[in-house]
Amino acid sequence: MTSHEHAAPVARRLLTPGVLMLLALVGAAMIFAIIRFAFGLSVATNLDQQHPWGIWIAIDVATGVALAAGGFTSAALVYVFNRNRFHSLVRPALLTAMLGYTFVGMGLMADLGRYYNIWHPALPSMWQGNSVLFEVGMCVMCYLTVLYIEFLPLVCERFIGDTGRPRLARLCARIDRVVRRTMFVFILAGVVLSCLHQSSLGHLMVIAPTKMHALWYTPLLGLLFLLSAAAVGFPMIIVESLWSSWSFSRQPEMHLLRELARFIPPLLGVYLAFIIGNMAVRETYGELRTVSPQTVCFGIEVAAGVVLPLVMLLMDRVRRSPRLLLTACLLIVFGVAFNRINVFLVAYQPPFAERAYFPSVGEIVVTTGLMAGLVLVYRVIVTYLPVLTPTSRSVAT
Amino acid sequence: MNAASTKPGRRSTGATKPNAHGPVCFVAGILFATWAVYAPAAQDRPPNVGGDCAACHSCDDPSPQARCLRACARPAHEPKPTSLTNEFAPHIVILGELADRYLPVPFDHAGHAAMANMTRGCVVCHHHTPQGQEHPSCKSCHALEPGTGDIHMPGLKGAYHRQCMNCHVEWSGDTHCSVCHQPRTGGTTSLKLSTPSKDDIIGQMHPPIPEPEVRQYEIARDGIEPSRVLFRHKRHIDAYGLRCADCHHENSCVRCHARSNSDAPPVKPLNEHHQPCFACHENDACESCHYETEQPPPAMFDHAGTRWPLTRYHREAGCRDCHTVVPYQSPKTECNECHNDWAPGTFDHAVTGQTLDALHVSIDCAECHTNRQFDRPPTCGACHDADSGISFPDRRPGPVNSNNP
Amino acid sequence: MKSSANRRWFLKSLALAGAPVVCPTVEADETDGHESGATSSGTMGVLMDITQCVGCRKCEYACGQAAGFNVPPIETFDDRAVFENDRRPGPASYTVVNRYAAGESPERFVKVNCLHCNEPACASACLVGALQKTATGAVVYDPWKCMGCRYCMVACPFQIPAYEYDNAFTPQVRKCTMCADRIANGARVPACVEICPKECLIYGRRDELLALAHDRIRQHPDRYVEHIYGEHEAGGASWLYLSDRRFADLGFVAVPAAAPSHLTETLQHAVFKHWAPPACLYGLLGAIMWLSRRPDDEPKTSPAVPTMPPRLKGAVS
Repeated sequence: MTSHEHAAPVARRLLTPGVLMLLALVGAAMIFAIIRFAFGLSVATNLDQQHPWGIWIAIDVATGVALAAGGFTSAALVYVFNRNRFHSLVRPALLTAMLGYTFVGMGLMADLGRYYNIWHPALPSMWQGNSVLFEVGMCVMCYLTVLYIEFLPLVCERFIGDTGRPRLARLCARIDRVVRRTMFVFILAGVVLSCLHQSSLGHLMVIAPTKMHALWYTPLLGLLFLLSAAAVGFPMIIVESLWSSWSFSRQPEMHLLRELARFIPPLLGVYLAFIIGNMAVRETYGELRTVSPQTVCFGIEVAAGVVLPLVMLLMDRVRRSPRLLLTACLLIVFGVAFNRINVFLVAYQPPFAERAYFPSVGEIVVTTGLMAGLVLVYRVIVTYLPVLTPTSRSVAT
Repeated sequence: MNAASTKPGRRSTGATKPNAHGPVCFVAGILFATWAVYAPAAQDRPPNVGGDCAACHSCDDPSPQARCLRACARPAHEPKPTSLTNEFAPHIVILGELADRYLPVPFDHAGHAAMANMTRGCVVCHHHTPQGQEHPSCKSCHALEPGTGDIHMPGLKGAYHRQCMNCHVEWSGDTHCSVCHQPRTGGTTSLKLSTPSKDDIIGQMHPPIPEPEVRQYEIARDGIEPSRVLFRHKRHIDAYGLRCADCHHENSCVRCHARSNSDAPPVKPLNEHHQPCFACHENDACESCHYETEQPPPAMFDHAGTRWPLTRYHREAGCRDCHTVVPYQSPKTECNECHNDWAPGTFDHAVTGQTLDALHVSIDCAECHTNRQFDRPPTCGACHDADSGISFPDRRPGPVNSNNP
Repeated sequence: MKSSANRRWFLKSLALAGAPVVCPTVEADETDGHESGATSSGTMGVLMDITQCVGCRKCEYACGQAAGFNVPPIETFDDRAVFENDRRPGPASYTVVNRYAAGESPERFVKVNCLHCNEPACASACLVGALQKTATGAVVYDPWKCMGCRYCMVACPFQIPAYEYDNAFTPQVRKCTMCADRIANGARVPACVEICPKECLIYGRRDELLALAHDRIRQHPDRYVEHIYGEHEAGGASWLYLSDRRFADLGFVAVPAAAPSHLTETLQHAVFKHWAPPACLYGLLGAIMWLSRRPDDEPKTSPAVPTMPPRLKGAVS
């Protein structure tokens, strides 16, 4: 391996107009978060007795977990299947996953009525092995820990060889040595934990068969969630890579991304095959004859979010063009995100609802604020820690 | 051959053999003897319950002398009317076992017994009284405390309320407890023992009764000239504000809920018969109501005949509004006799459509309304001469202007 | 040499990683078997005869009193204007009575509250066991365990649990407790059953209530529809209803006979059967990792760290 593949902190100014905008979004979200914590969910959200879950669950948690799938897919690709040429993509994906799950936790804190009890699933006396949510909670907690451990070397690396702080440097070196030798344990655990909770997230709604629209309800919901999470991992990495290249005025790593994009059609194809197969077996295609918000959403989700990018990525021209590749990958990201929103909100039709759920301003602002916060922290970390690998140093302007 | 021939005993059910006559005669004899013994007490014989004797009897061989009837028997047959009659029944029964939130309920037992007589008698309520016995107390079967009794049977509270509410709710749609219960509020413990009046019953406990528009009576009795009476039923109620019980105070349920058409209304003596009408028409001649069959009915009462023709507002008032006492007497004709809050200055003349100005408002009513003819507006000329210096129509009574002197 | 050392590390670490993973198996296995409808026969329940109810709403009053809600005086419950709209149990009322009129036929009243399912979906969903089916049949809630995730509200097929959204600090899930506390303190029946003037609510053992309900249908086929709501719905419930109208016309949701938690628990326990599937996946991935590694890539396999740290100081400043 050549030295140009080494990750390094991005040597750029932190406070740009874009970052200031992100800060503003985070600030607005904090105002609404204060309102929520001071006055309760009824003031900040549009949740009611019929709609217990809103976008804080559907987007902040479910979509957040799905879109953080880049972490385990890249780890599986590079470390388990030993495709080392994609090594430079692992760190940003790992960082995204770590931040993604951290913000999932923050979103969850806002949504939980008794957020101060969030640690309860860790108490063996309260374990409830029948609950799907218990498994999700445990796996997410374990996986978050694994992600932090996987991220440790990046932090340590920053301080190894720091002659100004020799004790810290020595400590970091020791941690680094231990973690490196056991890293494969955590990498494998991370992949297994991801598979478990990505699927369990889908199993969550299997308990409400009478309330779920037939187009989405299936006992295979968990499998579909796992497949879609696996399919969205690489597109997420590609989107991030292209985005940060554009953001930091770097040359896009097209030679890698093009190769990576070749893995997407099979994954997406399997996902699509299961969607269609599930529809055929459960004979839910009849639902599509009627026009309702649900059928329209399902049509958009599958056509624009799965079929279209699948067709696009089968074309070599698309994989070569950064713009087209970005478009196709954004479509996949949209498709999976929309799927999570559909499953948790659009498909959920409670029996006595007098009105439909639509998120309140507070919910929307907090959700956008969390996303902005994630991007912001990502930006800060890549500025100070060796995450991104400069492809061509000369391009940086 | 076949199985049937080898085991004849299993298949032959009829007495086909000639020598079977003997046993048949024997059995018939026993049956006859049994009938002969029990026939005089036929009305006391237990109903056919399909062989389930234990449903009613606690012993194996009950006899008329020792029935050993179960206290809370629930046989699968309809209970038969008992020999008890409601003549001996109490008039009012105080239901007080469960009085906690409310005072005990004074239950008009006689009234309900009369109603029950129209259908199936006492067993309508006293449903599981063992035959020929005194009615057992309800609580001997129905548990007093909720959750202590047999779940197949309502507790005492449920049993009472089912008896009452099934009809009362159907009639009035009213679930207010106060229909029957007097609340135990403010430390009230004294119970009013009055049964509800018939007027309370109509519309509250009894479904509303549609009233007829008119009622035509044919009087054809021996020794009397045949005549007719046209009773304007609806008009009497509307005009005089009568309540049902004002006239129908003697009526019992049976009058409407006749068990059969053979129960003809009893013939009453003349006085009793006319009593409801005489309350008002005491001094009227017979001809004011009775008319010959070929003649048209007499005209309705014309108030003008009393030398007080009804005009405008008075025509719309009910009779009782002025004639507060029955039988009607002539009230004094002074306005203040009824409108005792009217006086010059306080009467809002604007309601007549004519607003009085500051000059006219203080004048006594009779000054303008000569001869106390309040129903027609006086003319200005009646008071003001055309040449008295007041010009018309500029300064006639009308809206009061602030710049008027 | 280095490669063999790595292999030993690999195996040792694999074993260590497996150990804590196996420990919770005992916990998971205990809850493996489903509570079937047959075993729930000893539980208590309530049978409501809808044909008897006159809509006096006294149960709402008694319930509010027993639950410690701030209830208005009993006379205010005579107000029948509330029947204009269908109501649902809420965070301040465990039960409501709704009226259903259908043309000429007499109006019917239905008391709505938690059915206390035999295999409650809410309890199966709750990740900390805040909702639990007690031995007496009541499904009760422990606010001290609750995290407030409201998954129970998603899971309940009857949409019963209500949430105190207005409470900013200690919100609770509120639903009928079948007066579990009250009965534990010596009361014989729940408050609503006790006050019901016509005793259209009967409290008793569920199997006896079911037998009674079947008897009534058999004895009066003209008076009842041949369906006991709650006998099979969602795996059966402690609360049972007898009616003379189709339940669909009385605001009851059609719920299939299988308990909703069956499928999720089956999936859940299949995925974690003796921890074998996760362990197999772990082993499989480990094997792939081991087999696909190339000797020349040796330093690259484990950490996400490049071999040579870059000069960071300059880059950051």
